[in-house]
Amino acid sequence: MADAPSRDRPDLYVLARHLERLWREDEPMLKTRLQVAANVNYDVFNRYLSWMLDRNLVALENSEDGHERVVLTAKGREAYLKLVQWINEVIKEELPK
Amino acid sequence: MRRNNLLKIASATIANVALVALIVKYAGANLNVLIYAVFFMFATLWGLLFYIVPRLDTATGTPKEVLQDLAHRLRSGRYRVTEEPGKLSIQITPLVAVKIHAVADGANSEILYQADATPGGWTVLVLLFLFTRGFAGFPLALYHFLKARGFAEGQLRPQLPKGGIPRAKVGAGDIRDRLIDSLSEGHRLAAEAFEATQSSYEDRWLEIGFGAFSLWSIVAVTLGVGLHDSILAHNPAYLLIIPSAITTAIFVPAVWSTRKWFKPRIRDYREWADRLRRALEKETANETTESLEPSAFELIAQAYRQVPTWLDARRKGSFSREPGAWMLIFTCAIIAVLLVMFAIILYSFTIWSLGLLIWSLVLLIGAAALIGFCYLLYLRLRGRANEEGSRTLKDWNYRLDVMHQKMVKYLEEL
Repeated sequence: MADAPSRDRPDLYVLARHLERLWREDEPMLKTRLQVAANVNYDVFNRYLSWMLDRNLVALENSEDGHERVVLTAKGREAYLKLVQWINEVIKEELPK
Repeated sequence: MRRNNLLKIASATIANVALVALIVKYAGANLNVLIYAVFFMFATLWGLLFYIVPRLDTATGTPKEVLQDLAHRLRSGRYRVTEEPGKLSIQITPLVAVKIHAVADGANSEILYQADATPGGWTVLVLLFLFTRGFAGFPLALYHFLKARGFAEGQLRPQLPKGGIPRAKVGAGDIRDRLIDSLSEGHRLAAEAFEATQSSYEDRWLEIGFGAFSLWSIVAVTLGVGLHDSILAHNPAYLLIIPSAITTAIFVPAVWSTRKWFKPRIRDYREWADRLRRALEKETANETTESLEPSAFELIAQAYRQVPTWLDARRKGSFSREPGAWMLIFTCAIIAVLLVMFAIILYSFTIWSLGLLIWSLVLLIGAAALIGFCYLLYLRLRGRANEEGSRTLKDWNYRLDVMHQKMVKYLEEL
């Protein structure tokens, strides 16, 4: 289980875990499923969710069954793509022999 | 390029004919000369098969774009691909590889292929060639060439970008494409570290075996020469028991420490390679699981922390990196052992001759000088490898820190 994010600095890897899980999902995801997939406790999950909502990385949707679902926004997708691009660039640079 | 290939074939043929003509002139035409002529012909063809670079096709885009696109497609097909400036190296089987070159041709790229082998493949090719005078090495080289050609024609040609901009254009690209590339590169490095360490482990067994055999022989010869005939007549088993006991006492700790050093590393590299392969398979199959395994992003980040260790393992395990130096060490070690044995045998005759005693000492000094030389060379190689290792670690950690800071800053500014 990960630590809760500080006010302005979430753990990069925990955040990426949330974004990646949402990116893999074709449709809005139940909050509890996302929490389990991200492997964080309820409090931590809520803080990450608020952090992502504040920055428009994700949005909440009410479904007919009364459950709230989380969906990745275009900005969230772009943020995750940026993280993946940067990590990819590290290995794309010439490797030491 | 086609003209270059013809030039290579023509110059190799002329060199071959000239060499055989020279041998015939000075050694006369007989069966031995015929065998050598066939050997040189095989050697020439053997070299040519890996030297010529046939043209495959033309692709749309600059060489860099085309190669990036191909690399991504091949990685998605779970091939192990190494990107180098102007070319790709693709492992087709555990022994066979192919190099793909891209050369600018106006707005397009000319694509060429070249047969190649993995480090294990080169070892088999060279040993087989030398031990069978080309008779078995040449067919294997031909197999490599045909396999590379078949792969280039059958697998690569249909994937070459035609009439459009390559999909994995620089700066574009989808999340999945990037994840696949990163996982594939991580897997390649971990797998290469595993293979290199496994190979080093096997080499170490050979070295221990050679060392043990040498020590056993030296002790046995010394006893044979030094013990009084009457002792040997009553206890001939001494010649077997004493050398074996001394060799065991010295080499059992070496065996133990070798296992202790190598086994955990081999296990660790294999586990990393397996984890990354599984993640790569999931990614290429577009699978999503509910398991609690780390995300692909986290796995890549964790794996990249291991990269300096993997590069170091690959470097240390690579005999081909300093083949000349290692061959020199090996040759000097064999000569030193022979000198010691000759010195002991000569010493046994010194009762009759002072000259033989001096010769015996000269041989021993020569052996000691050779061993000292080997040791100094080994220290130099090890020192260079360690220096490169620490420089790689520093560079790599700096690269990761810069990346991490960039990401954190980005998140703070969101």
